[in-house]
Amino acid sequence: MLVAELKLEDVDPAAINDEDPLFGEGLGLDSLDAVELVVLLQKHYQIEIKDMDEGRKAFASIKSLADFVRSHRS
Amino acid sequence: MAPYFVLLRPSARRSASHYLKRRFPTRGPISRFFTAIRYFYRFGQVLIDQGVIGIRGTNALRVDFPAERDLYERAHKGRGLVLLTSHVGGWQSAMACMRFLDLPVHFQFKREAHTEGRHFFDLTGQSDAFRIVDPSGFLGGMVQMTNALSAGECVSLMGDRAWGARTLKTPFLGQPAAFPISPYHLAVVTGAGLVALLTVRTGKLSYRIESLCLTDGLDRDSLSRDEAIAELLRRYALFLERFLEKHPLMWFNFFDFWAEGKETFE
Repeated sequence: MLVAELKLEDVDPAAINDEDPLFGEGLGLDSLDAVELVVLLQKHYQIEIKDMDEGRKAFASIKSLADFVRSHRS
Repeated sequence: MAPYFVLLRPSARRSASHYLKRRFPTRGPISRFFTAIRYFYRFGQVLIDQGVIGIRGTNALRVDFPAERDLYERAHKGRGLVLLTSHVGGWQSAMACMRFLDLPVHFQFKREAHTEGRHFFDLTGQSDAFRIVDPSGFLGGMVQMTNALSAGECVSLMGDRAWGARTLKTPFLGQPAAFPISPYHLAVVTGAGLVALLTVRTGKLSYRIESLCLTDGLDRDSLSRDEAIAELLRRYALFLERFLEKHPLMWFNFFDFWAEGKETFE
């Protein structure tokens, strides 16, 4: 979903390691991708990142983002 | 102040020349030298106004904003509004009168880089109306700005300062120039409206705000995200260019937008 929504055309989802950083090295996202990520979380999961410290942890990697979504949906 | 910058600060004169030589391409070096003096004189007038407003408050300021009602209505549509400002006239003056919007305005503002702006907002008691978002903070403040737009609030960014963010080239004063894309990206991805605000100094402590809603008539369904961003940027550059045709000495941005290799949009 991330690859499709963020239009990461040159990224193979299977090649992404769950522990890789989302921003900077790793998946290579930047602050504008964060806009799409925030909208995606709101649209698909009705989750809002209000606390920036929480956001920092959630956006650390695919795994931490998945954990964040899981914890806010339950 | 003007002779000081022109005669004793060659770096300032060089910085100003990026714009002046493109705005006045047919003028020779001597004519351009005197244009630079008038340019810095105008800049000095705006700085003095800001100092006076900072001390006496915004009541000392006269702002004529013909589209005030229109902007209020756009801001209260509940889908968020991006206010695109520029280093034109007294942009702080434009922001100071945005309290009428009766909504929080999240303003991307690098405090340490804008000491005069910081004092302006602090001394005039505007800090409560503005939520300052630091572009050097977590993800450039984009998470806060996206949240604000989703909540139907306003965000304000400079259209002519990149803060290290992605840029895209568009024709401006006869040559491609690299502008930041974050304001357009925010508007396109969140579905918010986007209004450009340009402020001209019309006299002592007197300003007029000219505005244009850049998202009006934008066919978001038929354009891709990147096409929509490029179209909004093109509209902004054209609006700024037309403004500078009327008010050539009002763009106080001492930066080489036309330098090679500046574009960073992927």
